[in-house]
Amino acid sequence: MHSIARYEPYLYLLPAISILCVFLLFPFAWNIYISTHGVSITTILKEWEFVWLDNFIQVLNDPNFHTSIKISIIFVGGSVAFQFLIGLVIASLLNQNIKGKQILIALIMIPWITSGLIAAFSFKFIFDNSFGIINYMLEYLGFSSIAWLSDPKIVVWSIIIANVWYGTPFTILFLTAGLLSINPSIYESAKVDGASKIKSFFYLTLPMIRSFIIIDIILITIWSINFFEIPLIMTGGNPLFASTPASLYMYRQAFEFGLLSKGSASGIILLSINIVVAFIYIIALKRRG
Amino acid sequence: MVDLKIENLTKKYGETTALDKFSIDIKSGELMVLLGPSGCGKTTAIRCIAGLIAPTNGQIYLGNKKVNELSPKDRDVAMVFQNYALYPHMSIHDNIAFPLKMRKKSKSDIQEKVIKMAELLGIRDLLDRKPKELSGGQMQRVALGRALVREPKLFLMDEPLSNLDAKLRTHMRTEIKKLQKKIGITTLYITHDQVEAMSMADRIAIMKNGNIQQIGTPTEVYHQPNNTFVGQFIGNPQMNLISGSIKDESLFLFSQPIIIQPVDKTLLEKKLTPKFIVGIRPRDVIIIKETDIFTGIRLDGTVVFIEMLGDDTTVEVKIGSDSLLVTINNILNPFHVGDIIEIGIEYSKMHFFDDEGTRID
Amino acid sequence: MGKLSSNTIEKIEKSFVYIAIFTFIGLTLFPLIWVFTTSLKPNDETMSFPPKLIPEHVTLENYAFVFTDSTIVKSLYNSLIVSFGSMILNVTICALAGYALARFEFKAKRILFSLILGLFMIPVVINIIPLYSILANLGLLNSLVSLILTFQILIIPLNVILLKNYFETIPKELEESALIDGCSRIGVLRRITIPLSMPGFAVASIFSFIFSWNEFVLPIVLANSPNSTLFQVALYQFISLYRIEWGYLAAGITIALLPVIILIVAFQRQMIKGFTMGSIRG
Repeated sequence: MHSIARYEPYLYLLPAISILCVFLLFPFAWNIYISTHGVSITTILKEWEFVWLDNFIQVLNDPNFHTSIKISIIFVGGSVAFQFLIGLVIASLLNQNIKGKQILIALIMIPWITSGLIAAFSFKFIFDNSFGIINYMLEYLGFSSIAWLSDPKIVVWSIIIANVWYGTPFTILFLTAGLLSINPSIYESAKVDGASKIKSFFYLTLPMIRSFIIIDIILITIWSINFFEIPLIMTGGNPLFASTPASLYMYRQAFEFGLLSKGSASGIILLSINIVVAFIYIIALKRRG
Repeated sequence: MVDLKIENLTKKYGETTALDKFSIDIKSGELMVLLGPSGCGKTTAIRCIAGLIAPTNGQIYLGNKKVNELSPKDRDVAMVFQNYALYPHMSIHDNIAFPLKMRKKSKSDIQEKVIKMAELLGIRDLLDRKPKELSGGQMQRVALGRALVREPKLFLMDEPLSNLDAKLRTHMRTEIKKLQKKIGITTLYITHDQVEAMSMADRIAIMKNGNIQQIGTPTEVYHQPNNTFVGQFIGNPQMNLISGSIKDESLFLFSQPIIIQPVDKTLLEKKLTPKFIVGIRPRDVIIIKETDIFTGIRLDGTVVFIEMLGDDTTVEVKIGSDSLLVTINNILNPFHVGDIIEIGIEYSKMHFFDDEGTRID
Repeated sequence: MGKLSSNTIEKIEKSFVYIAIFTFIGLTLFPLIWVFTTSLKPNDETMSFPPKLIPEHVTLENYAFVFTDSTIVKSLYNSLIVSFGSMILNVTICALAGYALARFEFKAKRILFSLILGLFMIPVVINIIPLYSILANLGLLNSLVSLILTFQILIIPLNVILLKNYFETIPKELEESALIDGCSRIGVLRRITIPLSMPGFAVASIFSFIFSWNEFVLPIVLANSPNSTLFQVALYQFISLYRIEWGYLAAGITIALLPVIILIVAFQRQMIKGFTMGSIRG
């Protein structure tokens, strides 16, 4: 019985690992192949021509790509900052001794378990220029209405708002878990030592959930970089490329314009951005810990 | 009823040896306690015997049958775990019935045996409950019942009392001992608690670093410890160890040597090494009053600490740079910290060990 | 004026906390409530100005439309098949993998576990173009089975960690005890491990159902023929097919939300616990 037992765990892991290899690792490598060939939706079933790094050069010289990187930076920066700050505040409030915490958390979770499509449509609806409730309220309060979805300067903030709505519950939940991991007697001891609530928050709570904070920021950053359902559905990336982050740029190249290889090349650039960001965080994590 | 014979059982995990040529004979119907500090290999031993892990080397015989290659279910052993391992999704009745069901006993047979066992353990009223509704002591009884209901050949217990509070532990150890004698089952019992071992065992095997240090009855291991480890592990407070040597028929004791003259003849007859260790149990040290006549070793010391333990009092006495623990009956506060007192040690109460800790007789 | 007693301060603080939390929840739920009430409005009221939260005439005509449109009904059916199929497959393979990682000591354990965790970091989005190309070249686009298989990459890492952690909460001694009591290896799984793991399986199932039900990018790229459209994609196609019919769309969104809300209300305790187990302890 003992000799069989040696292979048993490998047998159990085989299905999971093989699916990951076939549908995650192999496509990953295939991406590189596509990006060095000239493939479009119409030529996908024909012979592929090897084009060296043409696709990359095209992408890097594309002014729309430059715009999309700019949009990405605003989108990711805004999303992460607001998700984290709002998340931290709400998680800290929930961590007070309050009644019905379970139900409140369940309600707060709701946006996170809806789909990106639902988030995008709901906001497209309330942001609508002519009959959206937001503009109605602005006018009612005496402001002029805003072209949330068509003003190139505003539109990126509209998708950030929708993304913050969609993503913040994750941070709340994650940081709540972090706060729960703190032994409550630490606060009692701090109280005895004469620390005010604000002081114990900055000097005790934050340092103690530091690893939760860093991991949370890593996750929401990477998700925001790659997430494009909300802009795709709310605006289609329009007007022009004013609400097209780099991830949506990749999608639009491949499936709106049919340029699979160009999309592939921008995907690989996107991936390198991911790696650089992850790397920066890991260094930050190591240096300060 | 069968006996258990283990020869040269060895278990290695990579480079580390958890169990090193472990050999032991347990007689039919005997309660053998395996005693040792955590990490000494006692748990590895019991799990090899149960068949939960495969030994690297060595043989296990149950009766006359070698069971090394048998899977746990075919060995006909029962085991009680430290955390009881009651199946949380089954009622108490189903927990106790489980081993019988697995052996495809008839329904009426199962019913009868479960009831009988429950009555024996006084848990008849609990049969419909779930494990999480029980107290620690009740869970303990259920675990015993589940183990014993199918009348196994060998009964293994892995620290079964360590999750109970002190009072219940004392009670349960008597109860387990009585039950074991009543059923007459060969039992191997693991614990790190020497009091538990002394009070329950027919024989004790004391382990350290994967090796057995000594096997013997509680009396033997207490009065004739094989080495300083056994001497100190058994008995509370632990045995005092004093460095000693003999030169020119004088006995030198302690690290700032005190010369004892003349030395007792019995000492010279022993094959003492140039340097040796003297073991003396705190209870064997006597406090000498001025009027007493005492022929053993007399020493002066300063009382540095007094610990009142109820029936007894432990006194720490400083002699030179060493200190000696003395247990005395709890007479009404005879002295205070700082007092200088005279203590006495009888030669017959002294244990001698060589400088590596092995007993010298 | 004397100092406020610490009790009063605490009360003021607490009401402030409640107000903040309820405001946040209100803002959070507002868009969804707005969509929901819109789904109950007749078409002429949907785009009336000023907009009204509460419909003047409550009607189910939008739902009636959604449930009679054959494309939508078909897509709903497809989504249910894919979500349940993906859930069953996922829990099975993740249970096996999680069990191996929780219960066995073996050489490649750390490497394989890090591999699973590491693959979690690869954004699935990067893979949509090669996946499209591979499935197109193999002629496997627009297939529900392809969707079920590709959906696995979204959920395997999370559920492997979750189930591994769950198995680790079941004392090993229970299985050992059952072995000694006379069970075979298979018997132990059937009588002890699986029954005790049910709560873990439930949470893992809910997670994989919700992930599959909500997934949009993979199905819109890999399966957009009328026969293989999933519900989320069908809702998206409302835009082009019908201009934007907000009433119908709102009804569709409400339907898409329904199973998810039901699951989270019914299993909130287990899900929050499972979430914590899956993300933190891994």
